[in-house]
Amino acid sequence: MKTKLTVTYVILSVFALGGLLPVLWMFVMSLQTPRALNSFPTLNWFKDFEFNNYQIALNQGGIYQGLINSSIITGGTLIISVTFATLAAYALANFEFKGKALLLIGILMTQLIPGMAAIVPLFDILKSLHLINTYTGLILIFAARTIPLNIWIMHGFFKELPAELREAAIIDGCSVYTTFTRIILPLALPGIGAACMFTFMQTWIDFIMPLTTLFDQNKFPFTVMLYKYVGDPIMGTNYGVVFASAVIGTLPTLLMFVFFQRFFVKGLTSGAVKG
Amino acid sequence: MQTILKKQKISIVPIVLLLPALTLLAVFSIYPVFNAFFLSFYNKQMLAPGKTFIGLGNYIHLFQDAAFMNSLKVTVLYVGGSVLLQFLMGLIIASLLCVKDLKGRAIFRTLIILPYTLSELVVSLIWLRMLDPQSGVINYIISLFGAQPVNWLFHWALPVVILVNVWWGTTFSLLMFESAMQGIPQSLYEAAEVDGASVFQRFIYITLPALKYISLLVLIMITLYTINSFGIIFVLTAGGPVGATNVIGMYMWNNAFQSSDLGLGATISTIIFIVNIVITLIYIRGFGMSTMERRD
Repeated sequence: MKTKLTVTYVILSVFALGGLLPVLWMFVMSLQTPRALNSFPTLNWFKDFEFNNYQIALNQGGIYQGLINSSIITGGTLIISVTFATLAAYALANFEFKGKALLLIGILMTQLIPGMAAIVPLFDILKSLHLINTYTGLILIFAARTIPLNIWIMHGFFKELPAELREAAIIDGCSVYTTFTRIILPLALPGIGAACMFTFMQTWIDFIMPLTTLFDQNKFPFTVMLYKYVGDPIMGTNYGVVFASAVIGTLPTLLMFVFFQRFFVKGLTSGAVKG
Repeated sequence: MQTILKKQKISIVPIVLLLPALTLLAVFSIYPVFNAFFLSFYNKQMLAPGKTFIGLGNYIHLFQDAAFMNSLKVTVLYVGGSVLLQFLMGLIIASLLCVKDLKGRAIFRTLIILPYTLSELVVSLIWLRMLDPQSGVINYIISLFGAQPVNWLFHWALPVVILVNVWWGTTFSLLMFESAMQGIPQSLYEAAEVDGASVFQRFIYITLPALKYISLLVLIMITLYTINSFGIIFVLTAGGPVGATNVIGMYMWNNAFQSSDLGLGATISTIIFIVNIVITLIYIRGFGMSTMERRD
């Protein structure tokens, strides 16, 4: 029994280090001068650190603008996706109508329609709606992508609330609207938190969709900015600055994940594990 | 009580509540499938206005293109390798995390799924530098053991992109398996232990059968995700060298947005959609239709 536990610890430690070390290495690389990064052996890297990289990234690299743009895109997606999903999930959890079970399965099935393979028709649709190169177009795509799972997350939470709550509210004379805003919504806040977090993490890190549908450099989210640096003849050779930017852009998702991991796990596994 | 809730049955409220979400899904999730199918019969260039009907022209072009055939082959290898490894690693790590009396479970889990919080772009940039033939840390480490430097992304491109993808993406199967395993009643294991079943036997006869439904779901999800994503390859190799990692998603993107041929891009999209459906059906059939129904 004792040896079994020891073996478990050893194997898990190997996997944990495997997950951690490359991420730590990103921090190490973000503190290097271009010369150090291109030198071999790598041990030279730990002689001196270049903290200026972070300043350069913020001041010259445009990562600042990128973070603002990412916030606009992610914020817009969050509001639309979580609001729409919450309303839909409430209807599915609390009202009886024909074909409800089928609709619920259908919504989950749209999850199987691949986002990336749809990039060509989505581009075409945005073009005909005159939404190409706009935040709105990108936000609507991201919202549609995250809504199915958010409906499942919220549906699960609404189902857990006792039906008597709603009945009591109706007897006390609450309208459908006040029942929802005063009674149900406050109780469903943890679910909304999970949906928000899940949507945030999905949207903040995406890069091929904005790379394809945005042309205007001033609108690029931080991921696309970062991608453009690497191809840039001047900035691209300075990987220290590239990784400093990557660290800055990654911190929101990284911190959020470390502190609210439970929500994220709930988001990923909901609708699948529990029916 | 019953009548109060019944009265709302015919109400318009649920329709109003559902409408925004369903509209968005219809336009940006379901319609694209039909739009791609429709576009696939046209010659449509991104930069030129209008489009011309060319029937099956795009399909004929594709199946005569050696690069397309190559991308199919590469996709099978990439998806097969990624899915197999992610599935097995997820299963193994999840069972280790479920070991009784394990301390620091949350810390292990956090560190193992840490990569998943990074953008595919950042993941690729990190590995791009670590694998660099001149100054990468990986060549440095193997040089400590006396090995010659290796040009990883040239000679080992496909295995390397598979490994990076697995490093990034195992999270999903891990979390799914872990939460499914937590749902297995502990009393089953205790009873088996009393009957003298070994750890291995308990895994084979209790854990695995209980995971049937979730395995099907995980396989479908990670297979479809891997077929349809190409962010890591986009940055690490852009499909090269000489098409060695040119998976179908990459091939599609290049045709649509590098060569600006939206019609051809839509044709490849359509083929990917069909492949998705076929694979889902094969999985469901393989596991038996009953797996889908018996959820609990």
